[in-house]
Amino acid sequence: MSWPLLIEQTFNGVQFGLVLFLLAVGVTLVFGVMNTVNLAHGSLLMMGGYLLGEAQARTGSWLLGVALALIGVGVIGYLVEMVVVRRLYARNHLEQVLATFGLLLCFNETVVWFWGREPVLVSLPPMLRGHIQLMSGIPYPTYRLAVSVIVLGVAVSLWFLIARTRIGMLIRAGAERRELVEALGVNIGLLYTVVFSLGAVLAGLSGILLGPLLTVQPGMGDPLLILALAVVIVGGAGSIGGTFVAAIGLGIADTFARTLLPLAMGGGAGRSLAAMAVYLLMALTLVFRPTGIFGRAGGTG
Amino acid sequence: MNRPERVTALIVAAIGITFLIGDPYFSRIVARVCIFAMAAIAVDLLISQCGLASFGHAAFFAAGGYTAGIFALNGITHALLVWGAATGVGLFAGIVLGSLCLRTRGLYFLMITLAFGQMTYLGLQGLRQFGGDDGFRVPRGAALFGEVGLSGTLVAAAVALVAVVGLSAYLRRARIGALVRAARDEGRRLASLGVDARPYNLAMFAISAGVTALAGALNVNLVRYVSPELGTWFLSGNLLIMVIFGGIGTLSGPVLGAAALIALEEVLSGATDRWPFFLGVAIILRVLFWDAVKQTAKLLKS
Repeated sequence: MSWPLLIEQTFNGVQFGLVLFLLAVGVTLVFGVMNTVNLAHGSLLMMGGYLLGEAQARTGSWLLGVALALIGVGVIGYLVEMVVVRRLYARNHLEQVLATFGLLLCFNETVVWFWGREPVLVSLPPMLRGHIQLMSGIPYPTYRLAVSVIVLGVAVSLWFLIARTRIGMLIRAGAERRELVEALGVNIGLLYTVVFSLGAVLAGLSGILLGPLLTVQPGMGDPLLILALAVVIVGGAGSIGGTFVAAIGLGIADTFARTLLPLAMGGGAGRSLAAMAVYLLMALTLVFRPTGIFGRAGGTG
Repeated sequence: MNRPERVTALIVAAIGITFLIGDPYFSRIVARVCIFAMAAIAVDLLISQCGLASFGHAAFFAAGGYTAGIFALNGITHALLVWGAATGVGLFAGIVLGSLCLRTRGLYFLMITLAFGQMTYLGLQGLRQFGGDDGFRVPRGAALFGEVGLSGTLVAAAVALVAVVGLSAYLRRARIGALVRAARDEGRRLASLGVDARPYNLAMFAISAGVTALAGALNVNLVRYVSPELGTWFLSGNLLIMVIFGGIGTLSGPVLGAAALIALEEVLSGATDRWPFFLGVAIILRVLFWDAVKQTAKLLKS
């Protein structure tokens, strides 16, 4: 493998990992704070992509489209929490998995209802088209670099929100000792709604950013959701720092496996082995360190 | 309805009525119900007895399907041999994967079975010689006194289902059932009594996998097609939904759940193109409000 390819793939891997982080952070927050599994989280990603396409078509502006789509996904997340997810917090994990699986079916069909089965086109803003030179002779798509920068910005803001603000303190406290926070008179229902909606907005943002890179189509979020589950498991459920490291790690591992294995082993077998790599890491983590690499032993279980 | 005789009577009656109606389309649906009911019983056995919800049973279903398909491609069609081999592959896969998965519990068990399910699905996609993503058409069905056609498959599925109901009833009553339930509820106490529950859990997992693989092989005889789609996590989810629909922990539950879900699918898909939406709504309502409905019904009765 040549140097330019190596550098390009590393950038791609980091960028993919960063977007995975955006998706996974919602899953891990909802799990850590509400002890709830949400399979419909990938649907919120999909809604981000679709709403961006729709808003773009209506307004003709990328920035306005992004803003409207983010608000839209936030509202959808709020409604989903209020109508369905709220009733699941006290249920067991199996019931949560099934009910949110039902939600996922609903979302996928709703999208077909409104936009049809054909992929929806999402265009790039003019200033992010084209390539820039990473080093001399290594061109890199501007948009992918912009995605990485945006997500890094969001990750830093998220860290600030969680580590330095009052609401973040409550979220952390909620993840540690839910009953105690409730006993101290915090409106725990409101806190849950905020956490879920925040996760929804982040998932929507990942869909918005991935829209131009993947195809926006029904069910686009489902494979990514399973990847996000892998990230959450490897990182340690409920740990945001762990999720960040695991997302970048799995993003790079996935990208390199997809480039190298088909080269090394030839088409079919290499490609499917590469796709399996992430799940292999997930299974290995579960076998040898069930609480995740960065999870506390005996944490939320 | 927790007595195997009654469940058997129900199944026999359903098959009898199906033969009286004699409509191939209807027979096909009933055969599908029997096949998926078997797999649902296998999933329920793990949930209700061991307290382990598997999100990867589609992998065993696909393993059984591929075994039957590959046998047919190589000209081996003796039904008992094909179905026996599929069950054997399922048992073996169950022992291998089970010994890894059973190191976890609860949500983590759900996740590790999901991971192995995905690996199986993606691995099958890589099998170029067997059609890769597209899979392959199965040239000949299994043969027992001549090729097993639609009514033959229906009978075979019903017989297998009755046998699986019996097996499930037996496992619940037997020592192994008591042991895994004890491990589920009071793991520490059981361990302090000097009992290692792991082999029993593993045996349960392997049996569950074997039954699911047999269902997968029978399914191939019905649809005559094998593809990685047999192993999607949607199918694993559907099996869990069947169990939940019928009610966890009863003998008849998974059978009724499979019948309900497949009937719902047939009715909805006949009525509207958007049937998965209503299926999703039905699942959500079932999970959220069924207990409340039952309680109200009790209150009204008293």
